[in-house]
Amino acid sequence: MLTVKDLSFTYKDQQIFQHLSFTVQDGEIVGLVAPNGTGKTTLLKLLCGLLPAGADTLTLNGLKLHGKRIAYLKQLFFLENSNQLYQDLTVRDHLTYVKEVWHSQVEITPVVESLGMGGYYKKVIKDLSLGMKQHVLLAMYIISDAQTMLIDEPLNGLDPTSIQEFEEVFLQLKEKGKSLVISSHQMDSVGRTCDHVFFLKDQTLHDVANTGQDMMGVYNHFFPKAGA
Amino acid sequence: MGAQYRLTLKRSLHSVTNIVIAAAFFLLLMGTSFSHYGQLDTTQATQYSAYATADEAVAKTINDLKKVKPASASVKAALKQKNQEKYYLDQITLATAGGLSADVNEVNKAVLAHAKYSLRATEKDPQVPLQLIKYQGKPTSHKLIERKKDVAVYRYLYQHHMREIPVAAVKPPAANYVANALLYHVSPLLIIAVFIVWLAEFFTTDQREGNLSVTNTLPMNKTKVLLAKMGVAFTLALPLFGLSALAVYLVVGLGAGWGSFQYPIAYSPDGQQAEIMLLGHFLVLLLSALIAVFSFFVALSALVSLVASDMGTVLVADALVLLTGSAPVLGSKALSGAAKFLPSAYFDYSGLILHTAAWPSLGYGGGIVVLLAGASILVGAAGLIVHRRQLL
Repeated sequence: MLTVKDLSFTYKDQQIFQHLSFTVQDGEIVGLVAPNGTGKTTLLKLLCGLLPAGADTLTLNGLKLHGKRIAYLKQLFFLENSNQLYQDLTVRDHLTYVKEVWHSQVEITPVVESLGMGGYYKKVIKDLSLGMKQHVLLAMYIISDAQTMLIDEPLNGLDPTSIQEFEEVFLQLKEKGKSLVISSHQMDSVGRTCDHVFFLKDQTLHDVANTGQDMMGVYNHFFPKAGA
Repeated sequence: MGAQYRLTLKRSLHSVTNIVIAAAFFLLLMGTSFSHYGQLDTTQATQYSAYATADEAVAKTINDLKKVKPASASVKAALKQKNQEKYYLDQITLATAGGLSADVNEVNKAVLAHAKYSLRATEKDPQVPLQLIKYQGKPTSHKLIERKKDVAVYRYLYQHHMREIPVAAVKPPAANYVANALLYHVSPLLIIAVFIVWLAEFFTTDQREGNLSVTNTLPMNKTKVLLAKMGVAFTLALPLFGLSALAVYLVVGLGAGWGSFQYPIAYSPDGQQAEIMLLGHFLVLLLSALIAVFSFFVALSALVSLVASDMGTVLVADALVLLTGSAPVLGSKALSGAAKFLPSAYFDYSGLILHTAAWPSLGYGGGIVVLLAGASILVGAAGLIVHRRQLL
């Protein structure tokens, strides 16, 4: 369980978040939704310690980021986007690396096969399309076997078939008890996969439970179009 | 840490900088060979000509002295000394009369006899106006220690039946070529400068390619990540230099022969006694010294890369530290006796090995210790920074 308590963040005199407190339970998928530039990625970076947060702000399964950083990070996986993949290394290199560093028991081959990555498993990242790179990212998340996964806009560049495939994987991970925080602009997908949705507005989070309502409508409620 | 090391190594193996740096080492070491390209090998003739020139100069001095009338006691003494000197030079001239077919043992015997005479004469009178043989590319010096070195070298060559290969030889065999390049022709500071370009590029790769966030979310101590990087630096950069030197050895060897790593280099560990170091021994000591110098700059680059995000800054910082290893800085009065405790006093590894540095020194072993101690302090400082902020 990820617990965030009174998280505030200021960047260059601009308040980005103010007194955020929330929890993400095991086996729960939480959507993180907001217009571009509102701070979704910043929040994910805060949750994994890439940006400074208060000493008692972040706790993951009882481990505080401050003081038990390595153990905290062992239970978490976050890769901002596919641009951060090592361009000259192969898919295999990436997956092997994640398996070794996270000491994961998840086997690579079945994951590669299930995601249909066999055709480019041995190719270097710079030779892959955006969709393929997104698959590599997803495979890395699965292989890390981390308890908490922070996933930033995973559906970018995917065709509808791949989007369905990704959603199935998210739900499988949820069934295994993993916690997922997924930032996304795809409101229909958010509606299909997330248990809760955090709408980020006015430096705070508005927690909306997913009861099957029209998520696009909720989005428009929080972020009405200009002139509407 | 093993996974991190392997990943960093794989990433770095693909870097174009490796090829550029290896090429730079190769070109630097081949510089002398390129400058002699197309020239006839006149080394032996030039050598023998130097003997003849010295002999003629002494003969002229003798004639001049004979013309001094009336001859004072000092003129008579000078004439006696010059006649003795000429005797030994004549022996060399005789021994080398056969030109290229001259017997090497006879030549060595004559040159050794002359060197011994010069040593005796200098020991007797340090101001004795000896006519030194002006070998091309080798500075002449009337110091007693230089006479001792001459005797040591020629005795070794005579005993081992080896032909003298001057530093300025047009086509020296490969062993001599590589050693001479590292000892005389390519400044150690220049070699280190090439290394620091590689290091600056290597230690800022993550920042440049935008992968620093990935590294910083790894569930491992970030000091281990830094140490893995340092390990890769050793795995790649030093072998790059070694391969370049090997390539030079092969290229030169195929054209000019391989030579012997048993060839002597004269040096003085204390400024009083002359000793012989063989080329092979010199290269082993050079490798050890180079590893120590490299360790220092690896640690320095790692430390600077923690506080500077771009390659240029790391490069400038390394270069500034490198410049403190230059003679004007180390020889300055401001440093005085403190210079010998600075790692930069030992960047000139050739001077360190042959004890020719113009500033105070703790000797070879002491220099290595100072360099490694400096590297350890820098690694410690880097570790402290990483420990405090938990990020690279």
